[in-house]
Amino acid sequence: MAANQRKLDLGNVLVVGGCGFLGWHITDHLLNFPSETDPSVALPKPTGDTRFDFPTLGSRYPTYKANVSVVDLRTANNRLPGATYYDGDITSVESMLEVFRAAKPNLVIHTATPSVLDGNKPLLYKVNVEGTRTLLEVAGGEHGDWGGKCKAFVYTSSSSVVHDTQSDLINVDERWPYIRGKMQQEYYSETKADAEEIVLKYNRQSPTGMVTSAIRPAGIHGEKDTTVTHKILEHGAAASNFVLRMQLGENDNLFDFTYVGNVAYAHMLAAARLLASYDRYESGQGGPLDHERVDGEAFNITNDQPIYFWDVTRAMWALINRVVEPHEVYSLPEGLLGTIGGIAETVLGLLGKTPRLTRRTVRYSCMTRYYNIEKAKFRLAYSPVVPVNEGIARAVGYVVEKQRQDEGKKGL
Amino acid sequence: MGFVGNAIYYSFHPLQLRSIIQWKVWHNPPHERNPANETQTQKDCFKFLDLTSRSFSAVIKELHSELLLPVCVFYLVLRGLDTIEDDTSIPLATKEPLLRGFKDILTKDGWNFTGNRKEEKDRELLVQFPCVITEFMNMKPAYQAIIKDITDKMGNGMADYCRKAEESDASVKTVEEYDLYCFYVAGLVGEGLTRLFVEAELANPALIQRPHLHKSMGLFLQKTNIIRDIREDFDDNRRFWPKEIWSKHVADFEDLFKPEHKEAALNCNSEMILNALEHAEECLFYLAGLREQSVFNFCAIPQAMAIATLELCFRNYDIFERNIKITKGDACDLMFASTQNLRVLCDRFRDLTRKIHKKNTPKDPNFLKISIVCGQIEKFIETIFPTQNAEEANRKVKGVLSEEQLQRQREDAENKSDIYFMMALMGCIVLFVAGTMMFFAWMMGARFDLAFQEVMSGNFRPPASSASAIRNEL
Repeated sequence: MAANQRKLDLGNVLVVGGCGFLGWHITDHLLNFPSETDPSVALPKPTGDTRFDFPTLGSRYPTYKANVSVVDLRTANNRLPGATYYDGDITSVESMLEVFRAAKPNLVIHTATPSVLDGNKPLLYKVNVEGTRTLLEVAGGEHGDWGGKCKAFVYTSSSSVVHDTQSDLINVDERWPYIRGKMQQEYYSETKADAEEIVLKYNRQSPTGMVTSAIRPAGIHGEKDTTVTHKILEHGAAASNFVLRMQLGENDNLFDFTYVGNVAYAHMLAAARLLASYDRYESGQGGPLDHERVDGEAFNITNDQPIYFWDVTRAMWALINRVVEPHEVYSLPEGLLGTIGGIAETVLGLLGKTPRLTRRTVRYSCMTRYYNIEKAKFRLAYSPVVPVNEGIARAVGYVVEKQRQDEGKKGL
Repeated sequence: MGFVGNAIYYSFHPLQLRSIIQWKVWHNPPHERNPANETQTQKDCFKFLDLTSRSFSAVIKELHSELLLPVCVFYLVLRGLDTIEDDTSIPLATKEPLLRGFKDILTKDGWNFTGNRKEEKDRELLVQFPCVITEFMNMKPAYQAIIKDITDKMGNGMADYCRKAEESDASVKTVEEYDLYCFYVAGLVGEGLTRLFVEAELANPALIQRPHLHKSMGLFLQKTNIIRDIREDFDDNRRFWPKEIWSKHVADFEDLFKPEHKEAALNCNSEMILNALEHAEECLFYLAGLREQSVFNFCAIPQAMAIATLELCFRNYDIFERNIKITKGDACDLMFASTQNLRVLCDRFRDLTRKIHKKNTPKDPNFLKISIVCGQIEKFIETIFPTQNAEEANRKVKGVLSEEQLQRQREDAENKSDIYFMMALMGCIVLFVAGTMMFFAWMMGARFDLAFQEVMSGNFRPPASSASAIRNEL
């Protein structure tokens, strides 16, 4: 763990979407973990249970020197002491110019996106594609001078840009093509691919020569996660023992789950390299060699520990004391379930409802989906700091303790 | 099990029997030693190899002729060293100088040792050690230097260990000590063998630049033995499981064997296996660097046995009660797979890894770590033999076909036209034969016109014959 020795100087940083799940963690990193030092913003975490005891994050990730500004649609919640917060809308040039005039960032980290679960197409397009373009242009100085010069732009893309939501992806690297149009069944992924392409093509194209790159995380989880962990625990807490024992497929399929802190760390590594590259370009020295280049490039980011799909769910359930032993599992073949899912979809579809078991859920839980991160290891010197097992326990601990606290409040 | 016992066992386990027969019938040794050309001392060395080693003698004897004797002598030298170290009846004052100076003994013509107690099973080897020394001196100097160097390191490692055992307590405490112990007894062997393979130009020289790979080869085997032999070692008052691991599960080492601590013992078992499995990836990496078939077999067989043994032991409480072993049928099946190529071996590794993963339970505090290490092995195999590639993915998106697919398409089209041609030909023959037959029938007076009329008026059967009509009347 060489990471803890490092100190990265990032200057004025603007975190776009800094009140969201990933954005909050990035802000926490940049501020050197107020969540671990300031009790007023400490994360809920069960006490007196060794399963949830870990070394601090601050002792393992690098420390940062940065002036942190955050912009988000609403910044009332998820604030951290030490950052300056601005309400703003990335689809509006005016709104962004105002924020840029105040924050004067030399680095933008763009994490803002509507939730995957939110299937609202026009919104997805507006925020992910148009919003990203607006933000890029403002940062690159195309909409007039805002009193500073942004050198680097890191975009949070998604590993799903190369996935059609159906096929297996086995040890896939960045050479795989974007999946779009008819082949792409998930509109979210399509908008992420469009946005990523816009960001990468914008590399060194703005009047100010701003450099860009994209981070593609896969299966992101951790404290404050409202998607993966939440869904799995909801099922684990509510379902009967019988239902918990059901397993779709053989559970030989490996899946990437990535701790949010590692994703945040990768953003910072990319940012630091981009800032260095920018200075090299500006000073007229030759740019980096092609096989070392970070600007204009996308990077898969995972924990590099693909894990059997159902093992993650069972590990999460075990942490809320719902243990399913291997000999108790009923494994149902994918072919059969796909058919049942199809029938359920058709029948309930006629009634205008969506069943719990759809063909897509079946495929997802039987699918192999993991990525190769050699490029990030080599070019960003990235390696996951928090292992998957700890990340999962952190994610679950947060939910468990938060629920306990919320129930306590209700009781009062 | 006597003959009857075996007969009953195999009639209920035909697959086991099949594996054994397959191995016996189809295994062709890549090289075979030729006893006719051997000197007496060489014959003696092979005799001792058979006597002292159960598992290694067969694979050693199939090695490339260049390495056959060096590896055999290397094995016997280490076995000699081991026989001195193991013998608790030899006082430290005698033992220590013997172990530390063993490398010089290799060049002392006619040296032997009769100080072992009578029960020591390989006593005879040291009594007749001169044959090993003679063969050692006959080897190429480069091989001699390697064997001498490893003997030196191992002898000193063993002497340190014996001294520690005498002065304080030699039980293994930390995981680091555990690794070090395994390195002395097995990791060094890996180093020596690798240097011999590379010296003989039968392995990739890069293997020497990555010492952690051959270290893992040795550690993986040794750790597997330590895990499997827990009961036997405990009964002999030896403890190799590191305290750092078992103390997380039980207060006293003895508790592992008490039924009331069964769950804790199983969790300890799985943590030990987790620790061993961390070497598996590097073992496959190492095996990928071997060029010659006999060397590959020599290295691959023990590794395959080791992972199968780990699979057998994983969360298996039997290891705390008795000594367990993989069945003879499974062993033959594994040997068969390990003597083909890396691909077949990797498939076997993947299958066994998945079997371990299927027995992994969320009750275990190391549940996810075990799942992760299994995933790492699978992922590593995937990097050696990828199932998907970027070119194919790009073609799929663009909707173009690869050269291979185009070729297949052309072949398919060709096949199809061939089939049509054959069918047309068959049709012609049928028509011709039928026509000829009808022509002859017509020549002989067949009335097709009447038959046609009958069919047209709906009489598909011939009218009842007059004979049956008469019978009905009667």
